Amino acid sequence: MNFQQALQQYIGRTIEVLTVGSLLTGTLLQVGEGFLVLRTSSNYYNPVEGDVTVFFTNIEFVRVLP
Amino acid sequence: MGISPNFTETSCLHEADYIPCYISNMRGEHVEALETTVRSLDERLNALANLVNELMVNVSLIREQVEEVTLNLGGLINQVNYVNTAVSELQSQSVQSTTAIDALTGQLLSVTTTLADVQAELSLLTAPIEAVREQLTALIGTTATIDTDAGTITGEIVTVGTDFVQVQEPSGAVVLIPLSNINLVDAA
Repeated sequence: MNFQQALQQYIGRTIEVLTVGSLLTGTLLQVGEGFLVLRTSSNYYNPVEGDVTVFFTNIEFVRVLP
Repeated sequence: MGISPNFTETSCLHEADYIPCYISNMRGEHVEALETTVRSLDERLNALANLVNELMVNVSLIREQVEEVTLNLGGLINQVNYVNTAVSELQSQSVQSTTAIDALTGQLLSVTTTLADVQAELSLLTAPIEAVREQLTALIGTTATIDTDAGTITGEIVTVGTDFVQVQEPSGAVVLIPLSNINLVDAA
């Protein structure tokens, strides 16, 4: 199993995506070849709102919240 | 006289009639012999005539066959010409194919060399990740701290995939970390 396949198990779950210098929180909508799509809501730490595509090359780690 | 008289002949018992009688007898014998010869020649002539007729029939048959062969020969010559043309074309195509195969073989050799170079580079690139993967696999089921550029994660190592590690944090959260982003692993 690779990173992409592991993430696909958590579609629909709330996740945190950490990149160098940013934290995105939202619902995992889709996982593709080398990217994921996250539906975020705006807050203090997360100014981006809407469906955000993040490329694996920029992801440090993904936390799936309980 | 050089003729030996044959006095046993019935008609030539008298000496006075001997010579005419003898001549007569001889003539009769010659006539019979000639007649026999003529009959024999007649038979042979008939046989010869039959043979000539048979020969004529055979000659006629042979002539028909020769005409038929001559007719077929024309078609055969056309076919031979066609085959010769086809053979020439095939020889030409064979030369072209050989040239193309040589070119492809050269390209294949080049690609094989390039592929070997790429595989060697890939091995160099993946070697560090493989080392991290082996170390983390040995730590499955234990608690460890993993450092990345975005922060540190502490928890139980649950799974090690081909390019990521899965950690279960005490809060119940699951963290997926790409192996290429791990700076260090601290096995507590």
